[in-house]
Amino acid sequence: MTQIRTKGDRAFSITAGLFFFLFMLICTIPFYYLVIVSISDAAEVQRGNVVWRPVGFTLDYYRQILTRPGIANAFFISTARTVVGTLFTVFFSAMFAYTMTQYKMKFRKFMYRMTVGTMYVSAGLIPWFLVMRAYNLNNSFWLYVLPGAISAWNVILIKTYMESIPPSMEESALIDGAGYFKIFYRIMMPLSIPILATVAIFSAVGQWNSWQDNFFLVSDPALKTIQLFLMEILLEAEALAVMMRTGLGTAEFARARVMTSFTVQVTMAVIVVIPIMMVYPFMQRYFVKGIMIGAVKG
Amino acid sequence: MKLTIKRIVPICLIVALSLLLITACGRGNGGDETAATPTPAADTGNQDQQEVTPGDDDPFAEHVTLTMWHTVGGASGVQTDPVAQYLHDMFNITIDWDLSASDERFMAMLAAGDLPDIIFRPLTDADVLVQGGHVIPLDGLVADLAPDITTYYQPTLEFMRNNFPPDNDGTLWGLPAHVFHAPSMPDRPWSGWYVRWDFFKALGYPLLQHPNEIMDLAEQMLEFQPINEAGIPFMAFSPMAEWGMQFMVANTFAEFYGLHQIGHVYWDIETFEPMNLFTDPASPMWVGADFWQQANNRGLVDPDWLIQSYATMEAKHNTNQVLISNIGWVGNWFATAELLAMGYEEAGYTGPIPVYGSRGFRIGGANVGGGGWGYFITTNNQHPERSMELINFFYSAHGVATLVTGTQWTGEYENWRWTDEGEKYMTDRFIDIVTNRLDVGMTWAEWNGNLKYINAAGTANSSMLPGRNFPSQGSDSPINNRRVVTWPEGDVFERFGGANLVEALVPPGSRIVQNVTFDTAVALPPVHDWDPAIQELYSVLYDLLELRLADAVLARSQAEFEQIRDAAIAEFIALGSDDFFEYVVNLVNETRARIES
Amino acid sequence: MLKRKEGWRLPRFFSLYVMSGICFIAIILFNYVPLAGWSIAFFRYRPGLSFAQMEFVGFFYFLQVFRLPTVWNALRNTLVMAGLGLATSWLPMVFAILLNEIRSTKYKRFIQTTTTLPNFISWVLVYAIFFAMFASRDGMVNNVLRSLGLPIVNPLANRGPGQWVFQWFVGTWKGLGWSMIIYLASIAGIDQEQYEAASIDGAGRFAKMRYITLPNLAITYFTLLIISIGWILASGFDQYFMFSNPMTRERLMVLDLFIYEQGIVRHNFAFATAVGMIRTVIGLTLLTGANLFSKKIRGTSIF
Repeated sequence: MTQIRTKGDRAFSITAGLFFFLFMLICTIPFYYLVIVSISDAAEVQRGNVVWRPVGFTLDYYRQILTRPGIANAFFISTARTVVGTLFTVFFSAMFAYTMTQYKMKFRKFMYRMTVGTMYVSAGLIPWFLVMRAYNLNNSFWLYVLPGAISAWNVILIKTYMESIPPSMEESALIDGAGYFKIFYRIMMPLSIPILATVAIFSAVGQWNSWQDNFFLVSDPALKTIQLFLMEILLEAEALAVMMRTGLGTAEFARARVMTSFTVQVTMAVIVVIPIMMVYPFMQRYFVKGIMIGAVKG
Repeated sequence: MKLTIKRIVPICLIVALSLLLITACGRGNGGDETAATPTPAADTGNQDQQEVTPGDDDPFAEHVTLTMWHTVGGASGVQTDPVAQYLHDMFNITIDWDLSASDERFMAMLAAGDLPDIIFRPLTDADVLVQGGHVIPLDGLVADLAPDITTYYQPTLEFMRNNFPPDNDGTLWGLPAHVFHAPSMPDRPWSGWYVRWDFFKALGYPLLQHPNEIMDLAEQMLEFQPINEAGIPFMAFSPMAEWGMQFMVANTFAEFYGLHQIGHVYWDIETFEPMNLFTDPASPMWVGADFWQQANNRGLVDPDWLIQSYATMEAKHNTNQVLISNIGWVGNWFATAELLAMGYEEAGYTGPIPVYGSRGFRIGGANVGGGGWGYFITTNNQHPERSMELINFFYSAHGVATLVTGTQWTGEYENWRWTDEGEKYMTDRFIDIVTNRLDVGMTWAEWNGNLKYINAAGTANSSMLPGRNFPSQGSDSPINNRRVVTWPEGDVFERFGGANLVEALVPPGSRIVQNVTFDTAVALPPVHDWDPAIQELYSVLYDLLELRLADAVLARSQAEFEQIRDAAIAEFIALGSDDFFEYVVNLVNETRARIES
Repeated sequence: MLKRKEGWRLPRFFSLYVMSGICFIAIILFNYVPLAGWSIAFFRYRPGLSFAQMEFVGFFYFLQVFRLPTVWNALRNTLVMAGLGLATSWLPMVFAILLNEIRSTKYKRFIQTTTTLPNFISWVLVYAIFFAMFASRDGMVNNVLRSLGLPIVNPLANRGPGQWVFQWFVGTWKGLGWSMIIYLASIAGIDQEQYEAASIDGAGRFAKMRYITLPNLAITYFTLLIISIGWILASGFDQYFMFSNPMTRERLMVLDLFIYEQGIVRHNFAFATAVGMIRTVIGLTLLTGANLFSKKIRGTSIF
């Protein structure tokens, strides 16, 4: 796509470029602060000396957290639930969204209304807990993957997007005698790649950050996610602080590289964000401008 | 791209399905071993493992795993600590501590009727636990299998039988923990002013007649040295309001006036006369609010005092930025250590400053102890006898000592021995370590056991040791007679004398009594069990209180403060605080009558 | 109906029914079955007891919701924050459109990625960051202001209506980059031919934005808007929990925080459930209303 670059164009480009640069700074500087805190001596942080540069550089907190037994398994579980959960979510949400675009189907309106309704109802912790146990999902990997597979939010996004695809694609396939599932799988899904990528990102991030299902319903250590793993470290750091209060101090305390709960939280935050930041740019490839339409049309 | 997706998706779905099948099969088989933990690594979730040696009648022969629920904030490492190994060797028991404890989660488990084997909960939970059929009676078990509890804790058991649940028929449903058995190690009062001691000394140890006088002392200290050793200006006070305005203002003065807050009403610790917290301008809460208003207007308080979190407040105290504090457990040790590390050997923090005229009291229940929590054995428990043996261990002298001091310093795992007359005494080696090897012995990191078990097992710190003549209690105990740990504490002894820190710092004439009001507080039904109309009234009053207290402490003059206070009091009365007061007074008196009968 | 007239069509629609049926059953199982728990609101609920052992109180807790004076304050605060959010809900869309105009793909992706960072910082740390910046005594921003001789700012303790604006800013800072994603994806799905045709017709950059990009995004935008209207009373909890303190309490006590304090902390689950039910009814009513309105004005319904 060629554009004639007028003077106005250039001015706009520069302004827009600067504007977004500023926006980017506002977003990243606080994160930079978190990073330098995580590599500074916790005592210096407590003294308020860490502002623009790390003070008392140390990778000790990362080391302490990353060498804990069980962290590898926790990473594995979180990755597994992210991958599997995202695939389930994208596939089933898209499938359901597709059926929701078929206005001729009986009960469609009813089902869609019920779906949208789920975003406004919530039963509370205890009922959710009891029901999940009744389904035997406690202590099971299914718990991480099934309940979120069809979320109204995703269905709405995909349905809205699918409805903007020219109906000619579908119609020609129907005339050719293709079944609905085939149409969905071979035509609609590929055409919806941008929104599917979006749903994938949302779902992946949701899975990666999720801890409540683990916390309440899964006690099997083999199924522990990284979020819960880190949270237990945090609880322990806070318990440690409690102990130190009531314990007895000597000069050793001042020299010990003691993890304060704040340091733990910050280090955790950095550890957890890094995988996401690595995956997200990969997904951006799919935000490609409408190449499909032309290709399929032919 | 189309091709890639086509291939990837089915493959991933197949992989996923296989994974799910595998994990689904793995469940229910007793699960997996936790990786890389030495014996006795906890095995798994809620399943008991029974390895019975065939043909052996010894009750200890069968290894048992018990699941245990404790208070929030247990430390990991309890599974692998040498104390855990000791329990395994001695009792053939592995305790599976639930490390993700939270109140909400407990409520959910309770609703599902799926509780761990041993739970540690507020005693006032007994009504639901009993009515819902979640716990078993303990009479027989205690009588047969708990010699220490039976010998030393009869009053506690009586208290439990009579009061929990409120209309109990005398069955023993639980075992209160954190019992302070007289005479126990006296505790320094928690509230009081902890100060930068070397400045206090330089100014001539000006003692106080009333807590308000601390403001003058604060100004003197700031004038004496306004900048700290790291170049940062000192602040006199830097409290926090994260736990509510009421908590912040009320604590400092209640002890001084000899008033104990039960059920949101103040009670005189001697006469048990009630005082209306909300509407009496002389209540410690309003006196406290007045104090903070004045301190704020005199420029003595951190400008961020109302917005900072607990962690921030703690950090400021720990790094020698705050001269005075009324919370005993922040600052002192760390700030002193910080100064020491900077090379200042005769500097540091301690307290509280003796305040003459204080009716100060030490908190501790005569019968039930400080926490108001206790052990229950649930109906899910497959091994109640073994559980009782374990719990008895927590109450025994040997048990508490092991949990507190760990196993490292007594080679044969014995901190105590028996005399021929059946009395207990501490071993010489233990005494030597406790009194003389401070550098080695006293940092938590180097002691195993210690507080991680105290919080986890619910036992009290060496004050739960039974027997009047037990040598670790009282002021001649070597633990208490650890005199000098930091310079400020050493200076305290120099200036005030006394056999231990408590004697040194509590001025003559002040009372240290076993606080009977505390038992009432423990037995009082919690708010969510009160009359719903009163509960609602409490919500309304409390929410308004938080707002009005904030207004009051931010008043810019004494006159404005009094105006806000009086207006607030009128508001409370209009809302019905008198009804609230009446209800609580009746409830507390009822509870007290029930306890004492 | 095709189904009856031509029997051979049945297998086709049949696959649709299977596809939708499986998913719909899952929705019912995971979202509607737990609603049996709404029965909690009608009893003096204590976890651990059976319903037979608990006192039936009917609508006591529902009425209590309206009796508590603080609920009206909570309602006001929630509506203000929701209003601010709705009034500025077009920001992510506009930002996405502008970002789309950047020519360098690399730069665009870089901006896209980095602006989502705040979304991943937990609210606990967000508060810590803002405290580190704006604390009166040693906040970074205030230190700079002081050294320049300017008066310090104290947004964290602001008791006035400005606190709402500040919270809106914090929330926007955290969520804007992330919200842009939907619109960026939608833009990617716009038929390129439309742009090419417009170029040929001599349309400039802004004309293209106005007549092609914007209308294509409109459906997404309005769908999300209508859904958000239904969510007016669901402000979220974490942000307000962290930024609440004695100074800001009155302005930041939103409904979710109110439910937490009155219901969860005080173990009053029945009350919390009652509020939730009321909120559901109001939310669905608003949703339906907004949708009907949209039908009248724009001719489209989200259903």
